[in-house]
Parts: sequence; structure tokens; C-alpha cells
Amino acid sequence: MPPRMQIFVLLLSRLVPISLVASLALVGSRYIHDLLLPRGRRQATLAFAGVALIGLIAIGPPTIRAFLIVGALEASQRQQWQKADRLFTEYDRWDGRRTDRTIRRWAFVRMNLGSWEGAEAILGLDAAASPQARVLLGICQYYRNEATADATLAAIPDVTDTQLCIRDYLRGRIAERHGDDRRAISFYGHSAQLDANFFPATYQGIRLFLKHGDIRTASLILEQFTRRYPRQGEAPDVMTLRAAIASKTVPPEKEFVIVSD
Amino acid sequence: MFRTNARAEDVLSVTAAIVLVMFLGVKAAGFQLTEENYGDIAFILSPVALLIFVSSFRYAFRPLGTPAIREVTSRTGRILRDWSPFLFFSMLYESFQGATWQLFSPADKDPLLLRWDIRLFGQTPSVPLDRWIRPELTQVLTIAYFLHLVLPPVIALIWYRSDLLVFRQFLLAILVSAIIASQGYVLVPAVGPAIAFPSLYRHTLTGATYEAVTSLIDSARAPRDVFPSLHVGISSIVLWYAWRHGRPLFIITLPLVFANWLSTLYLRYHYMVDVIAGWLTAVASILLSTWILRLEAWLKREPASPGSAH
Repeated sequence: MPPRMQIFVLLLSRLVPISLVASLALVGSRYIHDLLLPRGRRQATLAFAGVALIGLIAIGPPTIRAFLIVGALEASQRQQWQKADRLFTEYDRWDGRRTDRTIRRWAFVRMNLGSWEGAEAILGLDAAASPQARVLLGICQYYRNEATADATLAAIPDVTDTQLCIRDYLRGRIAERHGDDRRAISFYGHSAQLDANFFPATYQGIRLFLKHGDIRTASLILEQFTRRYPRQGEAPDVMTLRAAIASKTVPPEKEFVIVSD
Repeated sequence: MFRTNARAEDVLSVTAAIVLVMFLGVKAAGFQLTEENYGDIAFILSPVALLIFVSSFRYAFRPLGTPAIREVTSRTGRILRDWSPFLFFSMLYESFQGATWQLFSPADKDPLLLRWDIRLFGQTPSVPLDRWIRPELTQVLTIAYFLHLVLPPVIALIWYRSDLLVFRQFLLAILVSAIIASQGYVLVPAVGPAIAFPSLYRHTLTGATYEAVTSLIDSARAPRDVFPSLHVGISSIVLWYAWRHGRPLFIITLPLVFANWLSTLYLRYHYMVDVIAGWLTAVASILLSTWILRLEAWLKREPASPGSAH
């Protein structure tokens, strides 16, 4: 969904129930007013104001929450991470619903602030985290060098609407850290199969093939990638790999910073 | 004799809603109301909420001695009832977000639809159209594809102001087409050639309008809504009711509808058999809605009083 549309739908989804409650308050206040009118105009007007005030009090907090969450999403889309984090925090303070989507959006903001610990804390708020939320948790644990990262990622099932390419890529990185290059190559391959456009897996895979002297496979993978995504043919990392293949050297070790929602 | 003020579309909506609720009841175990689902529902309900709010506001601040609440609610209720087939149509369509088709046909039938196209036409038309992919044409046909959301309410509003009976027939036809299409989506679930067979195409569809509009439509569309094409079905119904309204409206509508049909193939959303099924759905819906309203008129006719002349 286009970013502006996301904001519009989010705002609409909050305003629909608020407007229904407001309608109820309006009808109720006039109804009470008309009931009390025979007893006197002043009394009827006061009753109208009283019921309207109750309605206003009822829609107050949801309206504030609506503007906080919409503001947070908008700030996040404008990459104003500090502001977005502040608005999400306020939203949470106003008892905003901690839906899976909200938690992931908030964690994404903290990841962009470089606060892996903060993002992990947010993701921990949802006891029944979705598989995608667990991918994000795995990302945080990986960048914090936590020993639990591999177990977190390994427990994520193969389901749709989940960035499984990140799961397998990070598991490849962890295997590589443990010196198991064969296992790492297998994970990178699987990651690239899940999303051929996910370049970090391609980069690390080619790097490992070159490290083990398999120039032919490394060259074949890069050729397939650039044929499929010609626009990326001139990207600096692709040029690095191309130069490494040509000179039969190993490209530099590179840690891609992955954030997602 | 039992007499009622219920309209045919009320009965149809309620019956289909009961079937849907029973059906979703079975599926409910696996269904979760996500923020996206809720957003879709809120989007559909927003005109209703707006209408209720405006009516409530007018009621609350009306001058003393003007219509009582019953008159206000009956006026609002009448508008809601008149337009409710659209609401039910949207709800029925969005119910597919719950993956209802999986109860009957868990596997997608794209290979079958492609096979039918190849057998009947030698190839699915979006493949030869691949040669004609041009950025400008893509933008124009994307807008034509989007008209699917614009033309039906416009035609409905025109008829609502001129002839309530034809307006009801039109909305009933839309509702019937949704009911027929939902059977197709359940029995022949498919995702369309672009997603099922991306390797068939050499050119990529691009452009700012294309990306903005298709990402918007794709975010709200049912995950399986290929056979029959409701884009084609509903735009054909629109064309028929534009024709009935008079030549000027038909002449304006015809190129838009034709472009809409073409866009379903050019943008790789549909196979040709879906388009044909869409036309057949439109014919069946128009005939059925006319017949249903005739039946309703017959059921509601005043009984002849004894001794009256024939």
C-alpha cells in the first residue's frame, strides 16, 4: 500500500468507531433535551450539554490515540525516527493497542535509531509474537551478538507474510561466525531462493565461494543476479564482487545492517 | 396471506450473509482480524459512518419543532437500505481475506486456466500483449483499471436520482454478480498470470501511476479473485445500465469500459477465460436481477378483490 494510503486507512480505521460514538452522543443529547424541554428550556439545555460532554469524554482518549499513532506512522515514513519513537511511546502511555503491526512499526523505528536493545524490548511486549515479529527479534539479537539469535531464528516456521530470506541469511552469518562455511553457503543459497533480490545473501554466498576457490560458481551466481536485476549491475557491491572474481581474490568481509518491519 | 415490505436485495443479502457467516464460522479457527483487515472493514464502513454522523449532527442541532427522531432515522435508514447491496458486495469480496477458498480448493488453479487459454486461443493474451508494453500505455490502462472503483457508484448515483427501480435493478445485478463470482473464487482459486507465471513475460510493467494505483488496489484486493473477472463483469453491467440511460452516457462509458477490459489482460491480472466468464457473469446477473424484481413485484401485487372486473 502506498505510504500516504497507509496513513489514510489508519486514520479512517480509527475515525470510523469514534464518529459512531460521537453520533450516539449527539442523538442522545438531543433526545434527552427534547424529553426535558416541557420542564423548562434551561434544564433541557443543561441536559444537552451534559450528555454531549459525556460523549466528548468518551471519544477523547481514542481521538488522542488516533492522532498519536497516525503521527507516529507519518514521522516514521518521513524517517523522523526520534519523533516517531516519541509518538509511539506516548501512544503506548495512552493505552494504545499493542497490535503485532504496531509493535513491528515501533521496533522498526528503534532499529533505525540503532537501538537494537530498545527494539528488542518493544518486540518483547507481545507475548504471542507473529513469525515476522520473531524475524525482527532475531535481527536484534543477531546485531547484539546474543547467543539466543540462532535459536530464535531457527524456530520461525516457513509461513507466508514473513521475511524468511532474512531468517536464513542471518542463520548463514551465525554459521559463518562459528566457522561452518558449508552450512553458511547452504543458508545463503536458501535465502536467495526465497528472495532473489535480497542482495546480502548473494554477496556473502559469492564471497564464500571465492574464499574456497570456486570461481566458476561465484561467477555464475553473479551473472544470474545481474541478468535478473540489470539495474543493479553497476551497484558498488556488485562491482566489488566482479573485480574480486576477475582478480581471483576474496572480496572484503561486509556486515550489512538489515532493518525491517 | 403473509405480506412483507422486504426487498429482494434485502432477502438476498441476508441469505448470503447467513451462508457467509456459517462458512466463516468453519474458517473462524484460522482467521485473525489483523490491522489490515480492520482497515479494509473501516474503509468500507466509512461512508455509512459519515452518513450516520451527518444525520445525527443535523438531528442534534435542528430547530425546535422540526422532525422527530423517527423521521430522521427512517430517512437515514432508507438511504442505507437503498445502497446496502454495495456494502454487502464489498463485505462479500473482502471476506476472501480470510482465505475461505482453502476449505474447498487449497491448490491454485492457475495452471488449469492457462491450459484453457492455450487450448482455446493458442496463448493467454497477456503474453502477446507483452510486446506492446509501453510506459505511457501502462499509465493509461492503469487508470482504466482503477475506473472499476469509480464507474459503478457514478452510474448508481445517476439512476438513484432518475429511477429508483432501475437503480435497484443495477445494484441487485452487482450483488448477484458478486455472489456468482464468489463461487468462482472458491471453486477455481487463482492468482493471475503475473504472479503465477512471471517467466512468461520479458517486459516489466513500470511507472509512477502504475506502481501507486496497483499497490493500492493490490493491498485491498481479495487474495484469490481471478475466475471470473469481476472487473469485466461489473463494467459490463455498468455498460448495460449506461446504455439503458441513453446514448450520451453510453458513448462516454463505452471507451472507458473497453479500456477497463483491455487493462485486465495488459496488466496481467487475468486469463482470457476469466474475461469470458466475467461477461457471462454480467449477462446472468442482469437477467437474474430483472427476473428477481419481477418476482418481487408479483409477490407484492395487491390481491384482486372479490367481484372485481378482469
